[in-house]
Amino acid sequence: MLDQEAFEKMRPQASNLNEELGQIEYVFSDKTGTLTCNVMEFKRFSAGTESYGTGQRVPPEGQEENVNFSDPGMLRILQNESAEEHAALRRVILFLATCHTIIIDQKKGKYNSASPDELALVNAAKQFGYQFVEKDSEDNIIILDKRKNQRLTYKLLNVCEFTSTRKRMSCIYRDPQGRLVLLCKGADNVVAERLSERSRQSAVFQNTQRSCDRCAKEGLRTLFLAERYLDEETYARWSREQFQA
Amino acid sequence: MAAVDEKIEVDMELIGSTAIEDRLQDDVAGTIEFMKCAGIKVWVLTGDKVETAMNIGVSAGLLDQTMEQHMLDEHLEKGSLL
Repeated sequence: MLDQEAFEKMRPQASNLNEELGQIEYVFSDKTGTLTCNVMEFKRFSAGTESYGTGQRVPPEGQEENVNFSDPGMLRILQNESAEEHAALRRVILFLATCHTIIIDQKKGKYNSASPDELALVNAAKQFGYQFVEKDSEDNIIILDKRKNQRLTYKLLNVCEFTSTRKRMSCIYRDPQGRLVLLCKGADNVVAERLSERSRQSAVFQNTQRSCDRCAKEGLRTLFLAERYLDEETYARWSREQFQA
Repeated sequence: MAAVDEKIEVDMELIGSTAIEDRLQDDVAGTIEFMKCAGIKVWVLTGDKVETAMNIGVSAGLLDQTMEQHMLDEHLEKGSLL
């Protein structure tokens, strides 16, 4: 047995383990990082009633780290502000650039995150022209719209953290227009339960669920993305409760 | 804390979805086959969506067409399996 990367042979330190290994009847294996490489690559997504990404593996040139995405049609829609699907597409990409807990290592100019999935999402947004450039000491998240050379500032107010039981995480922001918005990403079934009745009945829901199920059948890790605009009073009340908890 | 979080994460509007690939490591299927030949039973634990887990199960050689598949989910009523 040879480790190709380190070019080192296996070397037994003790032989008593062999007998114990021989008695094994069951192996319980974790999946991510044990069976899989734990190298995340952004492959496909959906926005509004459209699904994007050819799913074909493309050469790494022009791809950000943790991204392997191609779809010429998507880029055309992104560049054409009058295209019907443009607003929904831009909204999703901005979501990806904004809703995360990534820290930028300024020395190395690299993103750092406990979640490799988040790195894939933020790098995808960067590749599509919406680059997360800074999180300042006052929790302002700055997104650079590279096409317009415009800086968008989102003030981060709260993070409802991801846990394996919650299967979702949310961030609350004051967006560049001054509105309060909650961005939530998570497992499809968990997010679906928390949508408004109107959203659940929408064509967007139908397309998103179909797209997500199809991707999962291909073995991809899927997330639902949802938003909620909050009025000042609702937020203030919740914020007080949050503070007391 | 989590209970308070719950209260604001309601009434949301779905806007899209994402799909990320995490490929199997080299030789996983061969290794699992090897363990199966040695009579070892393999269980895989994951928090992924069922469809994702099944796809990986097939690629890893843990599931195949000839197997009888049983699916239990949390929505089954308690005792309904007995």
